[in-house]
Amino acid sequence: MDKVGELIKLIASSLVDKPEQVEIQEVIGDSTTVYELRVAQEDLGKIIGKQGKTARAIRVLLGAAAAKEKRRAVLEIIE
Amino acid sequence: MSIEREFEGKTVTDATIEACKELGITRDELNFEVIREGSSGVLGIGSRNAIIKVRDVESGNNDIQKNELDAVPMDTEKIEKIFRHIVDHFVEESEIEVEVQNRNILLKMKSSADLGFLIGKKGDMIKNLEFLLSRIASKQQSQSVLVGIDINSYRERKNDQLKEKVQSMVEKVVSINRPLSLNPMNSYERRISYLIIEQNNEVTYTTKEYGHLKKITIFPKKLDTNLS
Repeated sequence: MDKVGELIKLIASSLVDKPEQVEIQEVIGDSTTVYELRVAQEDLGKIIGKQGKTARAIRVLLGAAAAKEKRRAVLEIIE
Repeated sequence: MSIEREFEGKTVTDATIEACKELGITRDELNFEVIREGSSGVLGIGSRNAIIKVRDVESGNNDIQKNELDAVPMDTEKIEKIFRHIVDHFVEESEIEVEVQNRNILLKMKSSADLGFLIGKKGDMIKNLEFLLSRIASKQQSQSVLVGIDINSYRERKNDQLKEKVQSMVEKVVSINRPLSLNPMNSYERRISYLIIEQNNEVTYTTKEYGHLKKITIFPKKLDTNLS
């Protein structure tokens, strides 16, 4: 996994109750990389946050981190 | 030692506020029982005050609790590690200083490299990082912790700018005698603004929800009724 993926994983696992169930999968496209994040069912709310605030914050961070490497990145939270 | 005390107010809420003020504790710490609900009566006739009974008021209890809170060692290692990880991704060389005040953590960062990336548009990135790190820190400590980030004194400068802006706004409201609104702000910025506004006793303010932010409107206390 690349550095950006690791960063997202580190943040996600620090937010949840069951860090061992956090999984990240990269789907690399032409210009965009999609990071698929899977967490335990009961931790989903912690990743998304109130009105998606936490998810939004992670996405902004991901976007900026990827932009630094002149790439695009999208975070998908898989239910 | 357990004492029971009664407090009165127009409504139960008023009574609890009174009790909190008197005892110097927060609403959450207040252990009370409603003796009588207040009623406003008809046109103020036959109105009755609400009475609550507060139990377990132990003098000095509050201090002990406070000391306990302070004594909890703050484990900032994890927060620092995560922050460093994020920062390392953006800039090669940086200096991070961790300051713990009460229950809040302040991360001070200095670097000669361009830190625009970490600040973001109008500090968007900082706000996001602060939010995420606060969530992580709160989780680790099992209590709410606020994490602040200061990048090359950006926060300090921003605070000063905000204070200046609010101050000039207050002066303007007084001079033109008409209400003016400030831009929608988050709770941290509003707190700073309120402190400035309250220093001037010729104005008052209201706050209105604006998405996930709130907008402050400053009013002159003596509103000129001829203008409308």
